[in-house]
Amino acid sequence: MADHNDVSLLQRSIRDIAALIQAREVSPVEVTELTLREIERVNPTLNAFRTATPDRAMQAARCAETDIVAGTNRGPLHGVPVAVKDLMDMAGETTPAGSKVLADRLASADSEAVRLLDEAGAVLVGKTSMSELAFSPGSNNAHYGPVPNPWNHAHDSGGSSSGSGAAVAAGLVYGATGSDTGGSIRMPATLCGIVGLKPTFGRVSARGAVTLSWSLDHIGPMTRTVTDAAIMLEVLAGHDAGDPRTRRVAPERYSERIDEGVAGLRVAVLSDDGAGPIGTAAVDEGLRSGVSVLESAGAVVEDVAIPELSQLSSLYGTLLVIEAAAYHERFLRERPDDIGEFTRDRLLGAYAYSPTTFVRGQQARAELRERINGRLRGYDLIVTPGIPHEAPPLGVVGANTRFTGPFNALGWPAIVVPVGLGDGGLPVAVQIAARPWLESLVLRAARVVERDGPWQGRVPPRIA
Amino acid sequence: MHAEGVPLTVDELRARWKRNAEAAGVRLTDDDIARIDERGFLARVAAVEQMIEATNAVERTPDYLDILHTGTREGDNG
Repeated sequence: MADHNDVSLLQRSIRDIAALIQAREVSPVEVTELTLREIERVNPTLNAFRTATPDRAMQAARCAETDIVAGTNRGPLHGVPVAVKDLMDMAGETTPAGSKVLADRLASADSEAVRLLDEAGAVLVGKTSMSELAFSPGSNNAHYGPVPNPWNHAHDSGGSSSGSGAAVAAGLVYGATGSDTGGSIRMPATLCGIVGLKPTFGRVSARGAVTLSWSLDHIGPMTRTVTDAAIMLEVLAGHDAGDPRTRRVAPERYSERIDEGVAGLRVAVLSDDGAGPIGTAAVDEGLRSGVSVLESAGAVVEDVAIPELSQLSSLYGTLLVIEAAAYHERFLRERPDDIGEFTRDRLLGAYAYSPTTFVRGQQARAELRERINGRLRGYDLIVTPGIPHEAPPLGVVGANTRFTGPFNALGWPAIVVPVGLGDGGLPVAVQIAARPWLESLVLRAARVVERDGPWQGRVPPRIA
Repeated sequence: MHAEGVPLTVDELRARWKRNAEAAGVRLTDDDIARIDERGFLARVAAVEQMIEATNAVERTPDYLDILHTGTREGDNG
């Protein structure tokens, strides 16, 4: 039997802890108690959770234990503690989405992501901290405070799924949900040294999640391993009649195909996005080591310049700010002083544009998509850095959506996987993207980088 | 952007910004504008509008959600 007070249990993968739970070597109740104690101990330092949900968690853990003893197996999340970003409704809890203006939003029902996790037997232990209204690449938050990076507390965890990134990296949960409108899963995942997957637009329902941009928002998993991201995506993916953006695409068992490798796949490595040098020395080295691993595994690798990416990066930011202002305009009118200055300034920026910019921007989006498709014709995957630098100092909004934002505008699946430590002992990552609905390919490639690359399951120092 | 494709000046952009916000019933003070524009925000607005103009996509269907290209089968877009 495992030692139920051993916090190293909390650094296991979802796949490993699920196996221990199913073998009855670890009890869901005991691992949940251990998780809740660790959150209580660490959260004053890390601020990764806006709130824990111990009552719901213990009820779910007891239910899982009863089921498992009775021989029922609801899958690899059964009895496993996970967290959700605080913009997803959880019945009976508030959903402030990092804001003051939504602080009293009491959820009467679970969001679809929460419902699916619950149905899969996951134990939901709390709601993670986030940037105000999910509208920052950093963890800065005027109301709830920033989230220090688990690798170096003087640096930022990134945004906007800041708490999910920090909680998973620090071993407070086995996985968490994030939302990603311009990189909000992939930026904190990159900066915190974990895996973050933004699925294809329409793959995962966003019903019951506070909107930032209807055409750019994506929900996805944040985990410590690529296989765990596949496991969570299997639970989260699917058509939802309550979210008309979701498509009727056959579900896949991503985790079963994850070790199929990349032999024969054609990989485009971004050599130029039209915006200058690709990143810091550590980012460049990480990109090269990730690509080298793919090549050694049999992928055909070629450098490809895609200058349209920088245009799409500028464009997506404009579309995002206009959609965000449309959604939150009521608060700009009625409660402007209850919105933090950073967020309010970004929302106000929407009104600087011409009334036709939004529609003309959508036309340009379609045009740029076609040009990028042309550049990538014949390639299965594209590899870029996650973000162009290591984590900025805590409180500095320096994370950069240059490589992540375009894939929100395209709607393509994109994953980040850590490949090294740079300045300050801070993680860097590569991003691997593919055309719509090909999550299986990005997961397979990321698994190769994880398996054969330089990272090898590093974890940050335990918080004393 | 002027009709003949000439970009608006910063003063014209600032005036448009104030008009738009006022029409929406949103408070936008001169201090707000000065603070937000401190790091060249209006220049970026002008640059994005010029880039949109330069893509010359005015005959395209605005494809908000990639409905025209993104099928529901693997490889539809490739």
